[in-house]
Amino acid sequence: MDRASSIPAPPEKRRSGPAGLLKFVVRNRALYIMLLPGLAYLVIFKYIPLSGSVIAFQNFNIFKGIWHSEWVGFKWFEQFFTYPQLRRLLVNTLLISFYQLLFAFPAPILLALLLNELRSMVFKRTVQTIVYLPHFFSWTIVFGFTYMILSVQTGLLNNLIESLGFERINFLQKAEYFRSIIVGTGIWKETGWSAIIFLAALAGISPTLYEAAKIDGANRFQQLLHITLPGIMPTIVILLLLRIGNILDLGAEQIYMFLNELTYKTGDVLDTYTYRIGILGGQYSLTTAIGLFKSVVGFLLMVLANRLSKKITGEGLY
Amino acid sequence: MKWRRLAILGVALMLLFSAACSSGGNKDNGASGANGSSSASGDNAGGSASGSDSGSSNEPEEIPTIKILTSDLAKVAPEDPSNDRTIQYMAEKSGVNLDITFIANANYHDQVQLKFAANEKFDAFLGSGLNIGVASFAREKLLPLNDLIEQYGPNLKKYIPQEAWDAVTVDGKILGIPQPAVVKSSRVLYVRKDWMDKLGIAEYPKTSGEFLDLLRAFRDNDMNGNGDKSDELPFSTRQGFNWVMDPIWGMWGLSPMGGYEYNGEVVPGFAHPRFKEPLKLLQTMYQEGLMDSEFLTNSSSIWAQKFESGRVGVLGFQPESAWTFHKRIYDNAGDPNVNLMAMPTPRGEGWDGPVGAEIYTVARTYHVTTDSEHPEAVVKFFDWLLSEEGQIFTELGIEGMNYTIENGQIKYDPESEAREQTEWREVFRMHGFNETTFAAKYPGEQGEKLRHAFNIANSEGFSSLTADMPPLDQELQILLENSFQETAAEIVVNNKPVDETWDKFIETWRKQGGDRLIEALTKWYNENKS
Repeated sequence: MDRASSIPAPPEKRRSGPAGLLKFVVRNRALYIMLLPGLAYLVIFKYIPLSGSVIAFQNFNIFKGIWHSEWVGFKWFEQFFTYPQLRRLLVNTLLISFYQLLFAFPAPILLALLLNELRSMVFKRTVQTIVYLPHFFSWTIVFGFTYMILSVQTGLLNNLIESLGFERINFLQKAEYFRSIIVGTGIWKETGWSAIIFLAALAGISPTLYEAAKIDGANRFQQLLHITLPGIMPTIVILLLLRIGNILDLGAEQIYMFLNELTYKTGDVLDTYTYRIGILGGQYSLTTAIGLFKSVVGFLLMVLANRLSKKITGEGLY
Repeated sequence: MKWRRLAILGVALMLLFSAACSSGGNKDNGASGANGSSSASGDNAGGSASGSDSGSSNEPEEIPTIKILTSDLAKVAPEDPSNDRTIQYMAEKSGVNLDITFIANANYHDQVQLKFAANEKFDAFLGSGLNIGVASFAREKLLPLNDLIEQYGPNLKKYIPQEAWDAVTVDGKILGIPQPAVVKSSRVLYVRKDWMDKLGIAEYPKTSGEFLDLLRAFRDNDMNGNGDKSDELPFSTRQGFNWVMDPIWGMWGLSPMGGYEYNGEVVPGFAHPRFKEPLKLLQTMYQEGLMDSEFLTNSSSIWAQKFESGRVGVLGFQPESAWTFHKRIYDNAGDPNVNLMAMPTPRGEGWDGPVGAEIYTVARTYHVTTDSEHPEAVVKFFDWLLSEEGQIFTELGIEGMNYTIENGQIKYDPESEAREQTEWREVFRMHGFNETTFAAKYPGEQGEKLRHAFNIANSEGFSSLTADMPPLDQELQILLENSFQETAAEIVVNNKPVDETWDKFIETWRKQGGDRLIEALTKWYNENKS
């Protein structure tokens, strides 16, 4: 790669100005031509659809299309911001997101570190395969498992509780258990899968560092603290920053599956609300407005977190 | 030079690629493809009906081809449409060439909406009435059919009753061809009659109080005889306040989303003060353990597992399912005595109006689009579906394939539908109740159970004042459909005082926009109905 890009680079005069740029482009045309399909892909499939967001400011009618739908300014944003339950939606969204950052984000790192310390390769591979299997189950199936365990009538956990002499608990219909169930099932399903990326980062740490540390007399824990963790820190920071950018996205699929009338109080989030009103009557404009709001907030948070992180750890997305 | 040529070639290829992509995208939205839809065409080869010469393309008598979008009803759609016997039969008998596109049932309305948005042309499409689904969004694309029906639709006029036409008529313009509902009241309660027999209860409960007593008896006895008295669910329902519990509101003549007169206004059912009565009933049921404690979290499949395993005493559903639900329990519960019967809706205490469930006059509709070049052919086709011959065809299929005639009696073979993959044919059924086909299709016990359920449903039911109302403004629609469930759940499950909680909820709801909704409902009613 290095060689390829260094060959056509102009050795001397690199004049500025349009003429110089044109010359530069012509000289390196092969590379630019190779770039074209990728650029076209981005423009056609990412940027052009992005412009569809303007329907957030329209009273979008599918038969009139984007060009002929009437403009309504900030009507949908107003409707969204004056929604009586907006506070509840935001609080639920942020709280669940925060719990996920707190508990679900470190889980795969911990798992990867534990797996990394294993000696038996066979055991390590087996465990790894087993723990990332749940990733391939759909939420419908995971809800089925959860129901089998938590059901107040037939659930395993409730059978246990009853045999210990306590009252059965209707976990799935009580608001106070909702967030724990969401975060817990999320960890169960995704931890193994998310650990893969950290394992890859761990494999990239040079073994010579460990050897040197051993010679210096560092024990396993000290090695972990001074070599392993700093080694995967860039990966952790990048993933954390990306996660913060998505703080208002919780994935409607999981929560919608678990939600019912009694758990709205603690579990109704932006995504499920959008889904509910979206399917009610094709409310494209309102849902787009909410989506836009989420993206803007996510973007701002990510920029902020990136700055902070650069200051503190020196790592960042860009 | 070589470079330049390559560059031009590259750019050209790219453009081509992107052009292909975008048009490919359009096609996906359009013709077929996307969601497992398949296109079917039954060409009337040779033209048996009007005897035109095949080959000459501009003959005036050429048989028109009509393109119809319809649902696959979640059944297997014809694999090789051009050779499908059933489609060819329809085309031959009706004298119209058919190009039928079957769209996956699950997202049927979205798909048709997309096709409209992509400006695709088709002659007719399936809808579910003027005011829900795709037809409600595409009002301006629906062709008025008054004259065409007058001219080409003698059977349509003969077999479709006036109230069904009324449901698809706006300002005197008939905007679709309706299939009249088979029965009046749209839901009934089903009860395990064998459980009642076991307890020596001979009569169906007449009032909400007797209904509670029946459920209590189910709760206190080991009805399924497995030695465990506590595993029976006297009443079960699914997904919260889903339509399967409509008969509970119906004991007091209400449907939560329907429109009812109160104090000179038209209010949604749940905002009517009488709505508190069924809430009290449900609260009692839940608190006394008569109601499935998981009714809010039951998915369709979990609910089905519960009643199929013979644990549920009473449940609600459509009258048309009287036999299938009985059979599902009979086949799975391992109890030879299983006898599921529809029961008359008990009368809510203190209420003397009609009970049951909301009356739907129309089951399905087909609409002709303004793009159609041969609307008369579409009307002719549907007119044939409603002829005696067409009614037998849509319900019983083709002689020799789905039924045989022995000694003048029709012998219907229910197995043939799955075997020959003709279950989708139901989507073209346009008639209501037909005695001949009913008798042939449901012999013996099946027929008895269904007739029993139909009789009950036909003697019950009430209408919503706003049944024909076009879709509301989106904001108001949310206020109507997405509001009362949470508070109702609080009352039923967490035993909140009904009157106080509900009055307060309705007051807040009215302030937060409910008043505007009620105003809109009342205004529409006053302008259009009174």
